[in-house]
Amino acid sequence: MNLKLFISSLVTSCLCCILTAQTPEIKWGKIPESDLKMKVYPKDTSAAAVVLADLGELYFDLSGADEVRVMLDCHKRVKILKRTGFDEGDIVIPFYSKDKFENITDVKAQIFQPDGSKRTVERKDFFEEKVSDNYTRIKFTFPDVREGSVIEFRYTKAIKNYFRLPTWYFQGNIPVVWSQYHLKIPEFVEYVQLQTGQPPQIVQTDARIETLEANSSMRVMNYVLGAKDMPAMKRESFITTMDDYLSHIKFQLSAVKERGIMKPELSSWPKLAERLTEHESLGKRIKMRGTFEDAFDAAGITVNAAKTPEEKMNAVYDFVRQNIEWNEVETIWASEELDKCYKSKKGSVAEINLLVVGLLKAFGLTAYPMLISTRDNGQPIELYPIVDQFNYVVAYLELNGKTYLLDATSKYRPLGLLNENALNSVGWVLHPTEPSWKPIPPSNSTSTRMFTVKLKEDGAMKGVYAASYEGYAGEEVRKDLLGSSKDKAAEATSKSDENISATAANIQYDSVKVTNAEDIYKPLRYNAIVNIPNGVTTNGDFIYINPVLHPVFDKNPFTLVDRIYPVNIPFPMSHRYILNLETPPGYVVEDLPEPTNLVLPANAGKFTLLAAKKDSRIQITVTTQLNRLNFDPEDYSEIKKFFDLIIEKQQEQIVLKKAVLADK
Amino acid sequence: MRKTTLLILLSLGILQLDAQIMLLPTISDSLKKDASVVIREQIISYEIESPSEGVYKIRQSITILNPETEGNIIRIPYTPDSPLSHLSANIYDQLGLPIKNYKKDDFQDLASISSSTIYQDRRYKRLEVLGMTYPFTLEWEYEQKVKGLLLAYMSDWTIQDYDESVQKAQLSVTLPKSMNLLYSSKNIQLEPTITSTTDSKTYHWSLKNLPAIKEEPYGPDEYLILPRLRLALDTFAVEKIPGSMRSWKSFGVFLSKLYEGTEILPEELVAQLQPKLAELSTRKEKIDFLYHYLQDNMRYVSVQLGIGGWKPFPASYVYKNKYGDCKALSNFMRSLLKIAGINAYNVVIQNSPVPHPIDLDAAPSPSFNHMILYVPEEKIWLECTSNTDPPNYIGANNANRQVVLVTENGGQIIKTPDYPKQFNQETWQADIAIQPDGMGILNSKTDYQGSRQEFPRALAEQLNAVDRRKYFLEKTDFSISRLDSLDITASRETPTAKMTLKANLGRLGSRSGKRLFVPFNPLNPLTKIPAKMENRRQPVIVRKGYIQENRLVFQLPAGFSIETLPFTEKKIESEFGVYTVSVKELGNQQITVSRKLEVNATEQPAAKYADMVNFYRDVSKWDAVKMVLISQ
Repeated sequence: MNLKLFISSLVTSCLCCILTAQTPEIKWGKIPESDLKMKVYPKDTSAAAVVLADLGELYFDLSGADEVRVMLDCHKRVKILKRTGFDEGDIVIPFYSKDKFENITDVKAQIFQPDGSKRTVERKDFFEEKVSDNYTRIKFTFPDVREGSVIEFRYTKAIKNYFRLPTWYFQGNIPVVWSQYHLKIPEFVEYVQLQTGQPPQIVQTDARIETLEANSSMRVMNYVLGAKDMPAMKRESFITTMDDYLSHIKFQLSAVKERGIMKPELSSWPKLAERLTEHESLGKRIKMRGTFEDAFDAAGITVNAAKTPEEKMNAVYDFVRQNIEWNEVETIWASEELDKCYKSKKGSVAEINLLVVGLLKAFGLTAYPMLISTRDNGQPIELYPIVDQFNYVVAYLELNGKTYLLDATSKYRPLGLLNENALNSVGWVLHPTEPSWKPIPPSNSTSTRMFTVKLKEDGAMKGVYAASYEGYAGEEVRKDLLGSSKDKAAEATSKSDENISATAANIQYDSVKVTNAEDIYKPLRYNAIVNIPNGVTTNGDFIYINPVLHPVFDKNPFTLVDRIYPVNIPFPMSHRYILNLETPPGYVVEDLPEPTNLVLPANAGKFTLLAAKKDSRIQITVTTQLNRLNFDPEDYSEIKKFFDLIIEKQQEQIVLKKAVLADK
Repeated sequence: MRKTTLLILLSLGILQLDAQIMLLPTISDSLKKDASVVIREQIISYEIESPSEGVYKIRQSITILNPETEGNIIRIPYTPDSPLSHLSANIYDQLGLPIKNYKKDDFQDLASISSSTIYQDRRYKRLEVLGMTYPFTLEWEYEQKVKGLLLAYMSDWTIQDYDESVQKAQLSVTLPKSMNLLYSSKNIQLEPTITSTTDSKTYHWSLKNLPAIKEEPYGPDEYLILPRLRLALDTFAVEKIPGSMRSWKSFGVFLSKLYEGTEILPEELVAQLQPKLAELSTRKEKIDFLYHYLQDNMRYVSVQLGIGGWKPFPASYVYKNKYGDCKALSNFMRSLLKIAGINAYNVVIQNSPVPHPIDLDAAPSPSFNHMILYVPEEKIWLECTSNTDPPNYIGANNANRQVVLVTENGGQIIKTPDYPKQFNQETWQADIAIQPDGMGILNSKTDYQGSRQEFPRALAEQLNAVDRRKYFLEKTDFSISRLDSLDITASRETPTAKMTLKANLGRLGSRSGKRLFVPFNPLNPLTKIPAKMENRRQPVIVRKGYIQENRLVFQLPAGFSIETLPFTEKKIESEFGVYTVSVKELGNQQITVSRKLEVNATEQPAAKYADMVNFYRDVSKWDAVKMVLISQ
């Protein structure tokens, strides 16, 4: 993995590391002639636009009464090189506007043409759009954008919070020539920084006395971080999130000065645990049974009937899973009281799974919340207690030496299966005094599908089909069979809604019987009578049969020829396919698919195809397994080839030939 | 995308309720059939005070029977001009017991989703009800001020959507005696009762017990299926500009008044273009020149605030900012043509895969969302929001539909060009060399035309070389294990594009022992077909015709001979298309496969649906056939 995380602290003592990188002189409105005249960006000639400068200057505003505001002045300059880069001239600045938590002021924008002429975006052309109750965005479009234009805009963002400082991205989807984050941190606070991707240079650090309030001065630390010539980064599939690879830096408060002494702030995991256990929207939610009394009473009907702790755990899980619908919100903060969420029958992942924890505890089991950073959110950071990294909660408990993780956000998942987005290697167990990181073992997705059919000389096949699905495959099929059309629509966005796959259409399923659809702890079984009128090719004396009537993969999911980022697959899978075929009388087997055993190095994956015949019966068994979840870019060709071979092997045919009648 | 939504989408609406036990009569089985939602009671009223102002009120209760619907989500659109009031909602469980009451503040307040290049002031209130046991009942009500064009067009009474049945519904419109209401009912027989007082009159419609209607794939547009009542005002005024919806002609008169004075271009632009125009002799050359000027200099950005939803920004604004929405850009282009002495007219149109038909009888109901331009003298159509389309190509989503041409004499209904299947072609000429291990080496040239060239054109013109390769690999129908070269060019003058491709297709032929199985059509086999359907009721419509042709030459590996060619000739013919394949052995280890699929744009009776499924199923079957090679 080329994932790099660095933690360091912005403390006064590291004055020694002043570096002397060249800081380019960038002034509002002063565009160097060479930038105006640039036709191609030499370091990436395919670039349609390039960020010439992206500057941020952060400082504290202590002038407000009882209120510290963090101010960020942003200034960005972009060169447009090609028509396809014109979109860079459409600017959107979102901010969290609820209770004026963040605000944007002093937006200015101007555009320069290669001849040096300038135009300013007029006030009336800035639009403020209230997106929802919480978010607002400022939108504007540069006028007169041409190939060769240089656009430039700036604004000030005010934030009523200094626990976290704004994250700075040194990189994006177009190349960046110079990106610089200048932080002016007053001496009463200290921060840790968490750096991901290619590290920026430290351009300057020093301390000087500045006047921050009308009548008091204090020492302010200056840090300037800069990154030069950052290449464009683009998304690939089977990845956790691009944030794991883009160069960026986050800050979290590490110490605050009180009465002249720096007091560490959340500097260790136990300290964080202590704080979160007492937090209104986290620990407090599960502390008082009174705040989820109704849910407790309702759950009691089944839980009290349970005898063993395991049965109790199951009953609690089933109660929450069946009674509360997830509103798709991923967060660790339960903004509502748990009983309120129980009554409205919907809630965020925090509300749902904290209710699971709360109920488990209320019924006498020892359970804790486990905090997780989802795959979309980024790699977990164990190095330093960064709260911000978490966006998902599950329930954690140990019973008789066994560990259980409970995620009740889907009614189709049996206990132990987490939302696949939560399968991100490790999670942090919020024990009030001894918190710890624990692995998140992914569950499997398994299926077995079997056709037992009789082939007639005219090419038609008839028989039975039996399938069984477990784990994530079970969840998926249940969603398909029982879920609302909305779930289905979400899955089928790329599919044409009017058409179905021709392979599937060729197989007619009748007398379908689905077993255990509601009983999610048992494998979902699907039985049917099948009729396949055109499953084979007949020609003269030959019949050719493609034995894999219904492949798991019908196209290689890895389309790119090569790849920059690692491949990350959420869960292991194991799929088995069996064809039992009875050949028509008078035919002999001329050829069978060649038995195959493909294995990826270190048992990362396995594909086997077995072919057997006895009298007029043929059995083909295909097993596809993927055990490892992470592949480095260097291993990419390996896994792509593995899938190529699977696709190819699945197409191998059975050849039958009409027997020559023996003379007399 | 391009938006001028003249039709406001009013989501159905409510009850003024103090929550009480809701004693609703039971729902009859005939109303439950095919329904996910039953509209229990709907009461809508329009109170029109003057040609420029009115109030819309709705009160409605619906029972949601199952999760197969978004009926549990209430969405109420509004704009600063048409604010909402008295908004509230109640939920009742299956016994009719009140569960919860919602006030205005319980609704989310959201901006209508828009891309970064669209500025608009449309918003909506949203409420989603989750976690109820089915069936449950939802009721809500609100009032809305209606002004301007929203009032003039009024919203049609849409009565029911697919999968919804109606128990009871009524609509009334009250307006001053001096004004006239225009109305006509579609797909249902509705007659109003009219009452009057000294200075106003009221039209009243009511209906009962409409069973649910199911949507059918490949069916006609909902305008031809679902019952609705079209409504419009004979006279109205928008920002002091009077208008009438009596006819499409009068609608056009109103629009042309809105466009007045927007076509004046800055002198400097006229001076810049005049000399070049003077060098060109024909009208066609001048149109092409000016259209390319537009494409090279302007781009699509939409600003739709207040009346901006209907009135184009002036040509001078577009010139200054180098951007505009569909109206501003069409109008700018019209102004450019004027300098060259060429008359062109703005065209209001519905840009969509399936257009709503235009009614020629009373109460025109505009449902347009886009504007293009038409030059009658040359019969040339121009899509002014595209930086890449050639002149006179307006794309499949604008083609073949009725539109309103806005002339100085008012609106005129005309039809955009139909792009028949011969116009939409894709032809592959490819050599495929099969290696002894089954690998296929492809060397191909493809010609695209009409609707088929839209995708390669986008690849060629909207992406850089790196992204183009990446996107092509992701979107192409066949798998490629090594892409040696990819070259796509699109013509500026005609709707055509060309692609040359060199690639290793990986294991093309699967092997079994000494045999290799090579598909006749490895490049673009038909793999998706329409789902089967029992009891088809509606006619079957295929809207986009095209022709896809392959001329493939397979070079067989040395040491292999043909064991089986499953067929040498195939022809399938039906109302839905023609499919032919012919396979020839050339000797010299070469086989040619010529395959042609013609998909007809056609409308057929319901009974033909099975024929359509069969046609596509047969095509997919023959497309999947493999030749069998055997090693000697």
